Amino acid sequence: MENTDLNRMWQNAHIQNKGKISEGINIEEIIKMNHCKTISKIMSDIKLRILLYSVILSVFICLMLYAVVYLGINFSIGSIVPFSLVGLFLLISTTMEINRFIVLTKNADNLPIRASQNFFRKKLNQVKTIDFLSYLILLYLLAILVIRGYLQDIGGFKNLSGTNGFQPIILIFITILLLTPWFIKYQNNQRYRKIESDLDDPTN
Amino acid sequence: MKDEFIALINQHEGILQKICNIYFYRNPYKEDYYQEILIRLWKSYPGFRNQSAFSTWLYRVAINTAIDIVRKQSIRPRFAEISKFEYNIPESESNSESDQKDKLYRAINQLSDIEKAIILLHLEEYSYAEIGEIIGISEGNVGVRINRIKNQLIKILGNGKH
Repeated sequence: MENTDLNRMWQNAHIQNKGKISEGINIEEIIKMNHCKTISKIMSDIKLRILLYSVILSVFICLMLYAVVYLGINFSIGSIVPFSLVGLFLLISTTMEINRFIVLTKNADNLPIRASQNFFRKKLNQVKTIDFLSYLILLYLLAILVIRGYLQDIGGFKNLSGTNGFQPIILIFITILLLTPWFIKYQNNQRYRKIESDLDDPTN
Repeated sequence: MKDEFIALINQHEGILQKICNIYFYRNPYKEDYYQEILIRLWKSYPGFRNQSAFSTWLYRVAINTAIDIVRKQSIRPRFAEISKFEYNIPESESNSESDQKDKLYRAINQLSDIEKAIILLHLEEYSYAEIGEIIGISEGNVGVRINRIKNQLIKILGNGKH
């Protein structure tokens, strides 16, 4: 097969122009819409999830504040761990959905295709970096607070012992806190892998 | 402005058809994505200032939108519900002309998003300078990439891998 065959194949393929998509389409009606059905569905699904997670997270934070500030309950380190894990899960879910939404709404249609891809790549990297750094700061700070709280509870370093049954739980919890930002980074890389491989295309 | 836009779209309808075929060949949502491209073209239309030909601008915005839709699909939740469209098996066309078309589109489908855009513009007989303007690469680069893509396509078509 030669180059000219390719051009001939292309021309032959479009002689009849069968199965026109535009048949029965009313352009005037379509351009009144914000998005087509499929894209609208994707976007509204994400918006709904953001709303759901945000509401649950807000209720959770309000309840915690109510318990600590209004009722004056002094949580032991043992009860802080499960509560923190729930809060962490809600926070991660909310921010992940928000990030997904940000990534999906970024585009620069009027730019040349390569410039538009570079624009998208920058935005994607920005979202990933901000995501990673905010988790890193937040969770490492939380880990420091948990360690400090635990040491205060047991009366300092000198009382650390292998026989304390609660200590392994605290250790696991702190490890989770320290590893989560890296896990999020890995998750983001996996999620956007297909897009990035397209952006890294040699033709770029 | 709206009437002018509609008239221009009707005049260049074939371009949109080809872009949809290149990026969404045998995709059950092709018609829906065609509509999305129309919507995005309309939203971007105020930015069209006659600095280039309408068709050049149309290719740029429509290809950017098509690539963006492909991206949106890949970020979509993994366990998204299957719609009624996805249950439908596309109608098979059995004559040899359709077979050829099918072979060609399936081969093009194996290319990357940018490669698809380059080969589409080349097969539509755009000059290297025009392709460079739409894609945003130099004329020299266009030539090199077209040769590479053509060889790749010829290899795929020749091997019957589609």
